Amino acid sequence: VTGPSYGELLDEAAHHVAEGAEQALRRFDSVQAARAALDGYDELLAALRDHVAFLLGPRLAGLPESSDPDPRDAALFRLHRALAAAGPKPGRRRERPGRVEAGGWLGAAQALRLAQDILGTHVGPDRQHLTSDAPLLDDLQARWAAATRLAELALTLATAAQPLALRAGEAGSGRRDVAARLARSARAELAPAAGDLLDLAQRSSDGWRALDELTPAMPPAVRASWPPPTADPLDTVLGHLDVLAQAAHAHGRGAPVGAATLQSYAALGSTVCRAVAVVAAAAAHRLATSGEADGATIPALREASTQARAAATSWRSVYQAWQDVASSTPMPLGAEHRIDQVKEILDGLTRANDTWRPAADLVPDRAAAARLLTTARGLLLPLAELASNDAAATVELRRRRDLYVPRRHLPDTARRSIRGAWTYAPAPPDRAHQILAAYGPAGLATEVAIAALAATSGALGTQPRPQLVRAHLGLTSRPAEQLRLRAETQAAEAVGDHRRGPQRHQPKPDGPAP
Amino acid sequence: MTWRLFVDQLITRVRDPDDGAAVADAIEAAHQACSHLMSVDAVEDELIGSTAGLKLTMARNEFFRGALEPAAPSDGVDMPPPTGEETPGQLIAAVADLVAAARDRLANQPWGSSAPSATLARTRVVLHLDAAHRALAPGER
Repeated sequence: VTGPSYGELLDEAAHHVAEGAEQALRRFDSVQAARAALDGYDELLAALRDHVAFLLGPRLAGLPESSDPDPRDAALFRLHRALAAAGPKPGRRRERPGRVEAGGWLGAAQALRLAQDILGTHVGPDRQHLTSDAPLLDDLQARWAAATRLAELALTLATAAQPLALRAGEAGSGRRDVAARLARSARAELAPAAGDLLDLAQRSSDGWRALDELTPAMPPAVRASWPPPTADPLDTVLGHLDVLAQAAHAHGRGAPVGAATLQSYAALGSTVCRAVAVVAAAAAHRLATSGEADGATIPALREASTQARAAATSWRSVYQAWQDVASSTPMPLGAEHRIDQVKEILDGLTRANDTWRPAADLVPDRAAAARLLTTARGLLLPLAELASNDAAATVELRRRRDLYVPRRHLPDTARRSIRGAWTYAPAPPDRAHQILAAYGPAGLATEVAIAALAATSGALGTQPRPQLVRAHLGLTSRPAEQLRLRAETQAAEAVGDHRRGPQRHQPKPDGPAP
Repeated sequence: MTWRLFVDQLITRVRDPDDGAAVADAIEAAHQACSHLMSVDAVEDELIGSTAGLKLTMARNEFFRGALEPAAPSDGVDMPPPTGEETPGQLIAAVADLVAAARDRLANQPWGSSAPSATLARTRVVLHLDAAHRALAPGER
C-alpha cells in the first residue's frame, strides 16, 4: 500500500491550519466565504475531537472515573472534552465532503480524517490488532507523540477562534450562534487544555525521569483543571483562577516558575481587581439611582470599589517591577491562556466595545448586584494568596540566582566585570528587593478590598461561597489566616444560602483538613 | 526621543528583510511600550496597555519558546519612557503601527524552520500580534 504516511498527513494538516488562521486576519470577500470558513472550522474541531478519541481508544470511557490516570492520558482526555465542548453537537455535524475542495480549515480536517483512517486500518472494530504495527496504538509514548502534534493544531485553532468570529461577523455571515461559540467556548476550554498538554510534553521531553519528577506536583493541578463545563463565563473565570492559584501554591513551595509567569500573574491581579472595582462602582450607582439600598450600603460599595481600585494599582506596580527581568524557566502555555481567558471574560463583562458598560446594563437589579459581588469576592480570594506565593517564588528564584536583567541596564562598572558577550546578566540584589517590596502592598491591598467587599455583603444579603473559601483554606499557609477563613466558612455554612442552588465546586475529598 | 521617531526607526528595520533581529526587537519594544502606557494616566484606566500587553506577552513567549529563534542575535532594545511631547493617542498609534509592522513581516516573510510545529508557532505569534493590534487600534481594519 502506498500513499502519504500518518506523519505526512499531520504535516499537511498543520500547513492548512496555518493557512486558515492567516485567512482570519483579513476580511472575507463574501458572505459565502465567511460561512464556508465557519463550516470548515467546525469540521476541523469535529475531526480533531474524533482523532483524539481514537488515540484514547477504550480508555476514553474509563478515564473520568479513574482515580489516578496517567497524566498524559488525563491531559489527552481533557483536550477531547474541550474539543467536544467547543465543536458542533455530534448529531448536527454536516456531511463530510467527498474530496478536498479547499485548503484552510477544511483541508486540515480532511487531512486529519485521512490520517485517522490510516491508523484505523491496523485495528479491527473492537480494537483488535490486525497488523504487526497495531501494538503501537496501545503504546503510550507513541500515542503521546501524536497527541502533542494534535495539541499544536488545537492551540492554533483556539487562538484563531476570536479573529475568525470577528471576521465572520463583519461579513454578515448570519451565524451569530456559531461565531459566539467560537469566540467564547472554543477558547475558554480549548486553549488551556491544549496548552497544558504541550506544557506536559515539554516537561516529558527528557524522558521518564522528568515525568517521575512531575508526578508529585501535578496531581492536584490535573484534578483541579477538570472542572465541569459551565455555561456562566464567570464560573469559567473562577475555575481558571482556582487552577492558577493552585499552580501558584506549588511554585510558592519550590515548583519551577519563571519571571514571565510571575509578571503575567501580576497583570492578572491588576485585571481582576479592576473588574471588581468596576462591578462595585456600578452596583453603587445602580442601587443609588433605583433606591433599592439603604443609606449605609452605597458608601460601603463605593469604599469597596475604591479599595479594589487601589489593589489594582498595587498589582500594576508589581507588574512593572518585573519589567525586563528574565529567568530560565519559560511560561507554561496553559497558564498563559488561562490568564488571557480571565482577562477577556472580565473585559467582556465590564466593557462594551471601547467604553465601560453602563451600570444599568452591568447590574440590572439588586439580585444581580448581590450575585456579582459574591463572585467578585470569590475572584479576589485567590489573589490574596497569589501575592504571598509569588513573593515566595521570587525569593526562591533569587536564591537559585535565576533572575537576570539585560546587561546593558547594569552600571558601567558592573557591566565591565562580566566576561563574555552575554545579553543578560544576573540581576543586582536591589532589583529582587524592589520586586519583593511591591508584593507586600499588593497582598495587603487585596486583603483590604476583600474586607471592604465583605462589609457590603450584609446589606445586600450576599454570603461568601463556602466552597470557595474552603478551597482557599487548602491553599493558605498562614495559621492566622486559616483560622480567620475557617471561622468565615463555618459562619457561612451556618447561615446557609438557599438562593445559591446546587454547589458546583464540591470540596475535594482528599483536600487538607481545615 | 519621541515614540514616533523611535518606532519609525524600528519599523524601517522590521521592513528590511535582511535584519533578522528586527521582529524580535519590535515585539520586545512594543511589550515595553505597553508597560509604559499603563503608567500614563490619560490612557483609559490602563486597559489598552494591559490588554495589548498580555497579547504581546503571549506573542513574545511563543516567539522565544524555541521554534522561532531570531535569525540574527540582538543586543536588545529599550523603549524610552514617554517624554510628554506626545498625546496618549499618538503614543498608542505609534505602538499600534509597530505591532502591525511586526505582524505583517512575520505573516509575509516567514523565516526559520519550515517544520510544521514552527509554522504553527509562527501562526500563533501572528494571531497574538493581530489581537494586540486590535486592542491598540480598534476599528482600524
